[in-house]
Amino acid sequence: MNTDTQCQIKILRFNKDISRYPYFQEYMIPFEKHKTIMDALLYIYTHIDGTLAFRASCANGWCNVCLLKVNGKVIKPCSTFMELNMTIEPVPEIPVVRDLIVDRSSKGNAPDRNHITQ
Amino acid sequence: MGPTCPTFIRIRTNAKLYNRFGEDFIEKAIPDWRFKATRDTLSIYIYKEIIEGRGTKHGGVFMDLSFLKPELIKDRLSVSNYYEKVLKSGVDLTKDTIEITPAAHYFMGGIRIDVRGETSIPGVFACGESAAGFHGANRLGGNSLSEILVSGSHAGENAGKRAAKMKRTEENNPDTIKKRINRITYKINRWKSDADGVRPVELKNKLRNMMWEKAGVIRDGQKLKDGINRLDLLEKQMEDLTVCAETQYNRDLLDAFELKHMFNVSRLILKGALMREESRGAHFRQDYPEKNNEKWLVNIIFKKDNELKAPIQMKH
Repeated sequence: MNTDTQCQIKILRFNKDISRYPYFQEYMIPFEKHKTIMDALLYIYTHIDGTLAFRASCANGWCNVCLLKVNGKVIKPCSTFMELNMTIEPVPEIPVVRDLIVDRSSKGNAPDRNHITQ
Repeated sequence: MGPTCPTFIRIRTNAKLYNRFGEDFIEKAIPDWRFKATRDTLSIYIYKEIIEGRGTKHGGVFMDLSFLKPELIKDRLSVSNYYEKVLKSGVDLTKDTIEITPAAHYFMGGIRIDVRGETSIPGVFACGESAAGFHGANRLGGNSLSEILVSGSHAGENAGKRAAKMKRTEENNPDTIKKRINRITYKINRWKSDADGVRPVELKNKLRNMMWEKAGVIRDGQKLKDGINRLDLLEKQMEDLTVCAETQYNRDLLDAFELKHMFNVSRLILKGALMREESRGAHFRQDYPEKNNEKWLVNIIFKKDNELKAPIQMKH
């Protein structure tokens, strides 16, 4: 029995091998006040879903490799605390390679977000 | 995980360190530690407090600046916006104490290279920290920039020259490369088809924790031997790894390959640390706490054989 506070995370996922359109997937993880959004993503990857793709590097807020859009704002997940409810999307306006990973070198189009499926 | 705690903090401020009982343990041992204690000495003192049960409940010690004037703290910590950064992680250094702990931050050993930066694998170059750096047994805080700038451009330039006159050999002809790719693909597919093996990330965390415990801040012969035994046991689990089937940005797969190399590097660290029966720089042995220049003014170099049980060569 887990009575700890749970954190509800909705992640916008995309895999062109499966579908042309991105879709939201929901995860529940234990909420810890002083852990970052990156800790949350690593928790999901380690304990729930090994297929989740995201970038992580310096963990100190220097390199900006991990930039994501969380609850509508672009932030550095490695130096921002997690919240009870989070909607996590890739950085907007840049083509997505898979899940939260964007192709920064590309000038192509982002996947069509008018067709997000739940 | 929190931000790193750079050396400039203690040098630019009058920071105090306390254990759980509010004792200023480092001031007692080394009165002018802020300038005189190098990173390794400081780590050893902090680590001792933690493993002997005088650390905080999160496994650290307290650093306190709050007795200083707020303007002074903000000014002294304006380097790389440190004050603001820590504030964002919920700690206001003008009011709160912060918990700190030693961590693996830098690696003193590395790949052996020649004067051009080339490794023993033709055409593969290494530089900086990965090639054992410029710093010998201990790097002082804030001194890593020299090798980033110098050794990187040096190796890069030489790699370019080397590539321009690289000839086709048995090693790099397309057939050999194809065979190797096939071998790796076969391995990947085997990992992908095994549904209930060990996740690479799990094994990675186990290996990390084991290495921290056995070959971390304070080492001794027995711990290092235990470490080698534990490593053998963990490495056996590499046989039944399982990775997810994704084709792009597969983190599992990346972890699996990194893990294989981590096992190799860990074995070399443990064996090298066990051989070196002295303390030097970041390598501190409880059973041999002194530096021994007569016997150990040497580099320990491991060479790979087929088994990777690593025979040794010494160089004075």
